[in-house]
Amino acid sequence: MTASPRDAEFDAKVLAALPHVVRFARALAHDDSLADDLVQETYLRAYRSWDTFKEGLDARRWLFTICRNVFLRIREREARVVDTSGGDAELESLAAALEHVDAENNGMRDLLDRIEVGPAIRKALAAVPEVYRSASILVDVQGESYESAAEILGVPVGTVRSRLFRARRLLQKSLYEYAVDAGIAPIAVPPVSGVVA
Amino acid sequence: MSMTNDAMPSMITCERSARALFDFIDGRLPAAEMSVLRVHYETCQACAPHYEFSRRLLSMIPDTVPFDSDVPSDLRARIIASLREEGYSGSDSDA
Repeated sequence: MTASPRDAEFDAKVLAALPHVVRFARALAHDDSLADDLVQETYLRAYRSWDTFKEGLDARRWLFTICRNVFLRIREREARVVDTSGGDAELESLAAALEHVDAENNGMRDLLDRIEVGPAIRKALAAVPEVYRSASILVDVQGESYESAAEILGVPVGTVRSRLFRARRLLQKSLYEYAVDAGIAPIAVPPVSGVVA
Repeated sequence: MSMTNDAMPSMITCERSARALFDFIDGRLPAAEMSVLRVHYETCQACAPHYEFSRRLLSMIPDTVPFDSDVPSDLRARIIASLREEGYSGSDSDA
């Protein structure tokens, strides 16, 4: 089959990004079957909207935006989690400082040597609400810049920063809980939320 | 634990270092502040474990969702088939 010019361009710009979209979807969904559905739906929507794609835009970022929108539609309940980071990581500063103090006692330094890191991080990341997790996936997994993540998520760079801050704190908290459940960390978990005790 | 205020660039509080931790790891601070923070994270008994843990954790995250340039053939076939139903005429051989 000879590709039309439109579809040849779609191949070159959109299908070429397929491995990146697969990785993004798998990080987002934490379920390979759901991730595959996400990728398929993402490409369907991209194809249907291809005529509206503006020359010069980054197709990969465009696909990430579509993919996340599809995921949010599927997981509407989770999408309703309100971003309480307020665009200002200062809210968490004291809680973060308290974590510093507790870190040594909790054996934080060695924690990553004592757990099976891959499954633990995947499980911990899955427990982070989507509104924060997407920022972490884009920056920490995909290696996107803050500016690129802001474009994909449709939020200011400062909001990406605060969501990342919250996502990473929650990730650390979940890892602690994972280690506690596995019997390799004490049960005392440092405060992580923005609420200072 | 070092204690001072933010007006003294040569020293830094633990709270400030906690607040700046991820900005530091991501290299998003001015060079002078990065330099001061680096010394603090390396020398402060309270902050060093958290810094080291956070730095290592963030470096490990990409490997938990590995990038594979070879998309599973069944998934690729599914996508191409669904696009064909929309009139797609491209070839998947280059995808």
